[in-house]
Amino acid sequence: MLANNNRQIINKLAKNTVRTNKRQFSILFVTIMLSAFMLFSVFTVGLTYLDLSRLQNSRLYGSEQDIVIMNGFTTNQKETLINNSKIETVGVLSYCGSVKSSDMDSTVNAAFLWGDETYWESQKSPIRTEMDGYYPQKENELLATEEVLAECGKSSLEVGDNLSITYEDNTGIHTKVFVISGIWKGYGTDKENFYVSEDFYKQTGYDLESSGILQAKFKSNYVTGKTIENLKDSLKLSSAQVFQATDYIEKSLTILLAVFGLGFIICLSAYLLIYNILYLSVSGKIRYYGLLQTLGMTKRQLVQLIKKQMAVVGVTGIIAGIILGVTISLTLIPHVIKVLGIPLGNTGLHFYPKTLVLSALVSGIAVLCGVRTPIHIATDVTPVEATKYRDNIEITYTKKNRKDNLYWHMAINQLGKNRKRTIVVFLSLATSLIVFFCLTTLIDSQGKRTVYPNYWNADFIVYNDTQITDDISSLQSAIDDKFVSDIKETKGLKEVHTVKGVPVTFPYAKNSFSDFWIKSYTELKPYLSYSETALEYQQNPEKYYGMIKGIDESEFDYLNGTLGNIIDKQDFLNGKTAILQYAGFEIPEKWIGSTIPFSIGTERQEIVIGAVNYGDYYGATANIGANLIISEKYMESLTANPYILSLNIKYEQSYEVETENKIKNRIESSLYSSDLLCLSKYDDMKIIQDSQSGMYEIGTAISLLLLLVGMLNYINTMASSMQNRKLTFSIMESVGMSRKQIRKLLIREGILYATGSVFITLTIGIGITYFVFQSMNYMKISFTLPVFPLIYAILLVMIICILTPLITYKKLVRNRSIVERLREFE
Amino acid sequence: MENIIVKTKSLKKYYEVGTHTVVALNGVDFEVKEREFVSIIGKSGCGKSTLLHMLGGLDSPTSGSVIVDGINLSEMNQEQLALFRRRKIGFIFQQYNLIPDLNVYDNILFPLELDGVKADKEFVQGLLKTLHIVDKTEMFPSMLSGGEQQRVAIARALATKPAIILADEPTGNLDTSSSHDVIGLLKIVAREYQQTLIVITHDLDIAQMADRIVRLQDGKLVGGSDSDVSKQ
Repeated sequence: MLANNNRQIINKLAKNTVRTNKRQFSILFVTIMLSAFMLFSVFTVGLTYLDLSRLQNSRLYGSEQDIVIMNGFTTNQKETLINNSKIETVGVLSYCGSVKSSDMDSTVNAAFLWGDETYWESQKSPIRTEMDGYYPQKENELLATEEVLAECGKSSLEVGDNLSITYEDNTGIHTKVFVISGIWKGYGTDKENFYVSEDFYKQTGYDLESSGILQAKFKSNYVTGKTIENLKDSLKLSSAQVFQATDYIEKSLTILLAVFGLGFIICLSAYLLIYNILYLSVSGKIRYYGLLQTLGMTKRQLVQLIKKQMAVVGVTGIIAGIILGVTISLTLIPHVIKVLGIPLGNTGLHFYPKTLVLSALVSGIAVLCGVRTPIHIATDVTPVEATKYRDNIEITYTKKNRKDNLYWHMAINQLGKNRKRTIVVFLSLATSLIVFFCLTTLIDSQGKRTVYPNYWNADFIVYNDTQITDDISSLQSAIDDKFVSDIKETKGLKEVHTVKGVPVTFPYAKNSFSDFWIKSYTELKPYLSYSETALEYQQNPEKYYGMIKGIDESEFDYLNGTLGNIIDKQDFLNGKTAILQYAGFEIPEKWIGSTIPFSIGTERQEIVIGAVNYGDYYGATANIGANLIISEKYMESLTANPYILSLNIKYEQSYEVETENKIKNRIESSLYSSDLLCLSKYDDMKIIQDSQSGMYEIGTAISLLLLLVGMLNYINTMASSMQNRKLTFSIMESVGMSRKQIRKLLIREGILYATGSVFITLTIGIGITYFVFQSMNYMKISFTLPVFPLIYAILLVMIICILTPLITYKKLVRNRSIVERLREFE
Repeated sequence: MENIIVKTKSLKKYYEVGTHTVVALNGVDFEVKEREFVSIIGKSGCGKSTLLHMLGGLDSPTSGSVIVDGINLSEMNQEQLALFRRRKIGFIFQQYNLIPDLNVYDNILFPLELDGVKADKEFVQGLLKTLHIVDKTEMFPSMLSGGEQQRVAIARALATKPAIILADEPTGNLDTSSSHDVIGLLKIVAREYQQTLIVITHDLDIAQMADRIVRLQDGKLVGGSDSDVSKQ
């Protein structure tokens, strides 16, 4: 049989149907457009997030690096890394001395670093924002930052100026006049250091075999744990070497999976939504399709007709959605951010051609899959059945007599009537809420989660910075009682803890704790001889003085908690046990539990070392001798006038700017302000925020946008669903249901939709958020929910859910009489 | 003497269709007594349905008034009209207009439940038996034949024991035998519960089952406002 050339009439019919049913096809068009937009946005945001995470990682570490090998390396190890096909760059960095003082400041905290060309030109370059001058070439040249010059008390120096510095390297302590060869600006934690030339490095007594650092960057942004492990194995590391992968690269694959997981949920939601709208659209036209069949249209022709209609709407919808996504992601958001005055740097949303293809593909598949069932419905009914067609009813209506419950029962039944549609609405709303919730949680915790040293037990710390290494009498009362009481008067503070201290000497004896201590010290200073130093120690023990530091009960509880509560509290409070503070390598086990003698002035005491605290939270003091943390009470029994070494301040509200500024003002007005060293949790957060460069704002904008998309999806679905219920509403009114009663019913339906979605969000959503949060939780901070954004989002969902059906109903009814509305269906 | 329960005065209804004005009712004066069974007949488009919709408060007149049980419907707002329809009127439509989402039993009880009134179970059972739909209560409208759907629509109209039953071509989709059955049933029930029955039909056989027949032509009552037109 010859095929009929009916393409022309089918095309004409398809076109005319779309034209004459503009309203219905507009809803379908908007749905497909929103789905494509939503997919494009999520993929773009996800990949941008990954790129920004890597950039943030680089900015925080000060260079592009995924793997670091510390404590020296061999030439073979470097070659192995260079020859590894997965590695892009291998840079070399080395510490080569510490700055002790300048002619303007006697207590400078800075280091000398040397980096090879790969390090400086490849790995360091992306995080440099400005470079005036050049990297040191000559032996007497230094590369500085504004920060390190300020630390030296020489902020006004420029490129070409001279700078006199006293520094210590492996050959001893020297004073030298350097020329500033360059000043750079950028990100990283190495801004309070100087970079030196290779010639200078060679003179410092350091060598790459024992103190060099190898930094490698992978070619790919995402690698598996297995790749990292294989790389580590290939290096054949010695026991002294430390191999460390950055948090980002270790978590990169998990982050990628989390993004794709989120993308999958959105894909599912988009599919269900498109399916739902197509279902509503086709089922609303079954009578019409029945008529076409009655007039002789074959099922095949009918399928062609429906497919053509969907193709027109689908293709235009997908194109429009992607154009909308590109416009919003790449134009509107950066523009809004710029208008708001937020610095965007070079980290705005990126355009990835693959996201365009992927979102078009997924949306297309969703349309193709979504249209299958409705086509079956349309073609499976006979023309006669089609004229009487109504949606499948699957529920029973339970008896009820109480008027109050009637609306709830009807609303519940309405939701149960078409479970698929209800699930779609729930999922659509819940997906938006979950994505919003998830992104808000991640954005809210970004700083703390990714880099912030959360083991800190204070919001602001003020250190007494007057101590000089070998001068036992150098400590001054830079923090006095008046200053402490002034600080305590500041509004917005929750707690202020003082750490008091007094210098002590540890009497020397062969093979004693003091002998071990001085031996360890000389091992770190290759230019010092152990025997000579030990001899000098015996003669001048006050040159090698240590400190006892008294902390209060609450600080002890915190510190003991970090140590695993191994110290008996009473023993500590009564002065029987001390905690040895040591910011270096491991203390041999034999010293734990040992009793060590110490002297305050002429008075000799002894105490048991209960544990070691490998940190410098209680002050990285300049003394060579050991630091013992004891109870404040015991300290007071030993000396009447201890020095206040530091103030640990906790705010009522962490990161409270107003409180922070008040504290800083009080410090600035102190007579000893130049002798106070301040560490601020807020300042650290600011540094992190700077390194994130607009990530917070972009994330917030996108999460709001996704919430909006979810809302629009709901509005869309509800509008088409209400359209299909028009007849039912008219019939209800005709038999005596008032508009007020219909509104009551619709309000309850809205509440049910909102409640269901919120329930899914608060259960499954929290689970997903928790999983995503933990997969990106580098610093292992506790999981906290951003309560207010969540409450606002839930309220917004509630309002939209209730208002949408009411407004749609009003628009459906307009001012037309029941008869007019009923006639539409006759 | 029996009271007048339905009264219209100079009732007019015009519709705007594009640039034209269609006159559906053109000054109808019409009265119905309590417990009376009136048939309204006339050609298609003569305004029968429009008149019925006006009597039931489903549509509002362009001018004139409709007074039902002493109440002028023009003075009622939408809420009051809904309450009026629910309590005083039982509607039976040619297209049945059952709520597709509810099963037969719930469709019948729906107006009662809107009022929060407990259904008179015996009465409802009686209705179901009389209308031969006792075994259909759990079914949905889409599962029923046209005749069955019309019986459910009648049961729904009678369930609230309304004072007036308005039926718009209730037999339009039924065969002759079913048509006579349905009207017979309506008549029996209306008489039993002392209800006023106004039926629109184009079938003279059906019309003749009424106490009185009224003819509408071009939006006007023909042959007097309140007289028998073709009882013989």
